[in-house]
Amino acid sequence: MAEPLPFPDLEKAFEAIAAAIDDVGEDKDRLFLAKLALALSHRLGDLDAITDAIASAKRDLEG
Amino acid sequence: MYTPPPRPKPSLYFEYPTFDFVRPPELDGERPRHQVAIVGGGPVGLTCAIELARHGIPSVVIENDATVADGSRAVCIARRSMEILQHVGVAERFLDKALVWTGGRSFYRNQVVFELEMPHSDDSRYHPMTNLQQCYIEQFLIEHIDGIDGIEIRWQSQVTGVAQTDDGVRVSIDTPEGPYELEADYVLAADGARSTMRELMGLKLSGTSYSGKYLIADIKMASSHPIERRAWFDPPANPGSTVLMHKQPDDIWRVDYQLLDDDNEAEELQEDRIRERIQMQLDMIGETTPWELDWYSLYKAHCLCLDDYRQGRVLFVGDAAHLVPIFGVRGLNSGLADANNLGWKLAYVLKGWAPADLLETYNHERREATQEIFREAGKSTAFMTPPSRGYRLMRDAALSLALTETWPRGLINPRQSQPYDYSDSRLNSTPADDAGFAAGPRVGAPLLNMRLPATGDGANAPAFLLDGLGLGFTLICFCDNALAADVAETVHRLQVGDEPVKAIVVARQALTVDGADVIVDPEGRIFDAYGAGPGSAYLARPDAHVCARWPRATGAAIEAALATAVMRSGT
Repeated sequence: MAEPLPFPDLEKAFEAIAAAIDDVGEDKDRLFLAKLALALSHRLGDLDAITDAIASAKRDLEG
Repeated sequence: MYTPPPRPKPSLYFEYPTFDFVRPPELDGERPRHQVAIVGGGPVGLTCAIELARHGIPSVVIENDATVADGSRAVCIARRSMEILQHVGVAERFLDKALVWTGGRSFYRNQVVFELEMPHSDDSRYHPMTNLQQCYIEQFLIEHIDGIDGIEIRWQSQVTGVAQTDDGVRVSIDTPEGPYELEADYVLAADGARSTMRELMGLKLSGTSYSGKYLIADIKMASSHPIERRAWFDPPANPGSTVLMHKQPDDIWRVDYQLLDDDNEAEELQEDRIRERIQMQLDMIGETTPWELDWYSLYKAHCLCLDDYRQGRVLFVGDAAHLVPIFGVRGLNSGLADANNLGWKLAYVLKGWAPADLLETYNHERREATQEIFREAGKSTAFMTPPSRGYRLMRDAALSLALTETWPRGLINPRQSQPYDYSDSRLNSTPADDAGFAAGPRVGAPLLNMRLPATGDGANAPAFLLDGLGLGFTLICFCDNALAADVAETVHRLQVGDEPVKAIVVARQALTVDGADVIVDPEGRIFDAYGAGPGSAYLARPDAHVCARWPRATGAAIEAALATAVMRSGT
């Protein structure tokens, strides 16, 4: 797996994505998040890491 | 004719004292000139008064109430604040009553997603956090002031006007026996979040107000649960809300829960509804102990401050100057840091030891500290009460991932109050060879406390490095078995005005130095923590913040740094 993002940058990413979700609006956020996940997968260049992240994100969805 | 606010509702654990109005000389036609008037007798105003008295400056405190604050309010006192209170002289009294703690847990729904563990070691005199209700905090400060000459608290006195003249401030005050005017060289506005001084001077706060609202309540419950900070995000008993619990002395528990946007505020403030919501929380965590509701209040988070804490001869401190979010316990703690920063500066200006411009550094340093608090507490607040749908979604994503992964846990960290380093203060001297320090408090940071080696002097010997700080500046010099001749000569005669600089010599071997306390550190623990070698030195201001340090100090450099720190060109 690639070197993880340093924490201060993770915080910035958290805030930037939160702001982008607000920008695109409620009816477009699912499409936006799917595009973001796909674009990040492309840039990550590591299928095992993507598969791991999908499994991790699928856990604990019940609410 | 002024009538003070009604007495607080009786408490289940605290007996509110009543402080009588005492007719001041001004009401009988006298015009005494006061050096300092402090508007507001809360913890910050009272601490300012004690700080000034320590430096020999008398003050008069104007308080509109006849008793102390109602309820627990501030509660959490950070370690740095306890160090400040130690020098104020009340830390031991606080600890007799208070509860101390080091960590806590955050839950998502009902599972732990973050374990808070704040640094704590044998070198820490105080715990990271000390819990004490604000009513006790004020009571202990008032009791301490009873034994101090030069502080007069004028209860039941309401400020109604303020006017600045060329050389002072005139304050109009209404009392149960009629109005009068008081004259002072300087006025400290310490009158809290709803500051009358701010309003009278037409000053506005600027910044961000958050929409999230919290109901904060105290309950009396004899639970044996250990002392820790607990936070629940989206708990089953309060879906969608965030809930916090803190233990306080006298079996009082603080329960804070977020009100949601679609909650009806008037309904939520009904005591039956408050009891119901707290009961649901207690049921969820398995508390079966009977409990009673003692006190509650509605809270909204703000990051608001004045553009300038110095308005001529009026200086704003604490909540009167800045409103900070409750999350991370920075309200009282930043106010105590204000008092600690301003006390010595105002004293030095009034004694003529420093120019009035020194007060501008209070404004600069504490405004910078406030901005840092806003950055950190703003993040905590956005996590505790997401301000928008996007934040809410990302917050829940981080919490959900944190159930099984460790990397998102930093996002959940409550970022508890930390001391601020005045790293770009104009009072600092940063020599080019500062890079020679691999460790130790940086220029602008508070001195690092260290447990001292046992000396055999018994109870009289200071147990920790900061126990031995001076009233004014402190110079800590490191050596093997002798100081350099020029440094020894400087140590002997260094002073500000007629106040000597306290000299502490940390040596590898026993020695005596004229005019200095000597700490023998054969194992070099203090050397190591300070990144020091023989010949190194630290100069700390009266508020214990480092204003200069040298890997190899010279007498001339120490004297120049001291002059810079009091804004004198050459002493």
